Amino acid sequence: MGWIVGSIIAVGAVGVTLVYGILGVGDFSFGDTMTVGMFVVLFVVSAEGANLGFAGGDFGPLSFGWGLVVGALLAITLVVGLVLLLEVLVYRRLRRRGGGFFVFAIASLGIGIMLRALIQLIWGPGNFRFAPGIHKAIEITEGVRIKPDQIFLIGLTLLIGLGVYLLLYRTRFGKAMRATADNPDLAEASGIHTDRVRLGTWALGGLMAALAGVMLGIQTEVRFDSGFVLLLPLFAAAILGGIGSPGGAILGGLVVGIGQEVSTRWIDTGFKPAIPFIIVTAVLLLRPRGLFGRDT
Amino acid sequence: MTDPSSNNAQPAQASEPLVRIRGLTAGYVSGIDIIHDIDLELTADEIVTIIGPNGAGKSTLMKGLMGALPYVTGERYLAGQNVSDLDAPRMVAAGVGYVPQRENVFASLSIRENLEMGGYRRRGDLEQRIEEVLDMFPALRERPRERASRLSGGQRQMLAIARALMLDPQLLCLDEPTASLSPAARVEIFERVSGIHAAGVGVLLVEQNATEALGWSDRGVVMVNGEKALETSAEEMLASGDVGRLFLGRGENTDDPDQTPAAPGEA
Repeated sequence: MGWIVGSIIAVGAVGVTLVYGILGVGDFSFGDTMTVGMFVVLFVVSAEGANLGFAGGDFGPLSFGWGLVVGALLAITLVVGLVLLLEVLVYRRLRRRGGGFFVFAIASLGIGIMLRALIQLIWGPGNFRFAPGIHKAIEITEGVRIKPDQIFLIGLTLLIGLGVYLLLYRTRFGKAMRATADNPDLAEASGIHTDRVRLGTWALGGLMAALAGVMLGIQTEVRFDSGFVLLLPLFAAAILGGIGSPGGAILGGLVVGIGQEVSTRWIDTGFKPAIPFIIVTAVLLLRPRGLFGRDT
Repeated sequence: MTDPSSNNAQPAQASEPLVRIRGLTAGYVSGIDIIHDIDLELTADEIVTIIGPNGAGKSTLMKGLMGALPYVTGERYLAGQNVSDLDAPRMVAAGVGYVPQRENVFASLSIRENLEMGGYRRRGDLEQRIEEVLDMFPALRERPRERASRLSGGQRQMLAIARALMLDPQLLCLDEPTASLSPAARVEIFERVSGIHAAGVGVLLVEQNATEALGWSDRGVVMVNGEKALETSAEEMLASGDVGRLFLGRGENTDDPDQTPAAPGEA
């Protein structure tokens, strides 16, 4: 169970860590942009979507079908578009006026509140599901049962991790992203248009938010605050892994997710949200730059 | 502009200098200029060194030329082309290589990746250019995957210059390339720069190691308080008693060669 939540946190934390590492800002609206992605999918796969002819059949043992694929693509498009719009309309202006980390943090927190309120205004405070009904878990080995959906989610996380790694270390644009993270002035003096790199980074962050949102919707109920509830674990995972390190974020996500779930064997479920921070505090005391933080 | 020499309508001619700056004024904050109304010219067969006390605006002049500051006014021409409105990435594309004073390599990237970033705007022949640049700096060839942060000061400076050469610039701007290097490493840097210059690249230097730098240069420019105080041939500058006493660390009470006297009114 912890593996699943961990996978979702991991994908979101990759987005958070990229935005922080390359743009130098913490995006506190990240959880809510995830929620936007969830509701876009919900819109497509639920009754409204069915009327539009999107409600497709299931993929074998999985709980979803083409409807979710269409919904996910639309969610990615809209969330990436939303994030880029925010960069151009808000964040870039703040940066050019010399707004520092806190200005940005508060601005993104405010944007998150607005998105959350907007979703609540449209859909209300209720709980929704992408696919109603119960899906059977299958037994892999004795005593270990897992739903097909969950195997899919873990596999997708690993694929996303690999994809981000290849992008950052094997492509020209990915290397320019790392160069901009390292030294934006020198990137400019090398002929790299860092504004374009920043837009690309935001797009990648938006992609991660949309994917994490869709994954969360597959696994749990969809609520106006589903993403927001994960915001702190996302940051905990990103910090645990060493901020700026996508590989670290994935590991951090798994540690946080598994830590949360495993803890419920011994302590009350109500204290579960505190677990990520206990883990993070313990790790940072021993290793202040996180598991995979940079030397410099 | 009432200056009759700034006749922009004329097409570029063979005699057009590589760089022509007219009335360059620049700073980091609106209304607070660090350099005022600088005129400067440089031809492709020159090495020009800018010297002057700390805070005189030497680096700012170089950044202003690059368009790498928030507030830059005045006219800039590169090989006769008006480049007054270009920002740093566009100046680089137009043919100016720039090595800042500090943090002039991507520390977390490998040597090879640093060169790839220098050649970011190159398409197709990137590999070939990397080979050419590595031929100029053989020491960088040994460990291409080594992170730049692990290099020694001298090697790091070599990598910084190599990165700036990736786009085959017409002009190379070096901001204190020998700062905090050993005498041997300094000589090596000057020899390389001199070699690059011999291949037809104009060089603009900012240097604290003024005497040494002028020894490799054709012309010297003294900056004081954000203004050009003096411009002569390098030979003349080295021979001048006043310049030697004021800016080259020669004279009665300047035993410490790094100790340049503060200009009047300097903050």
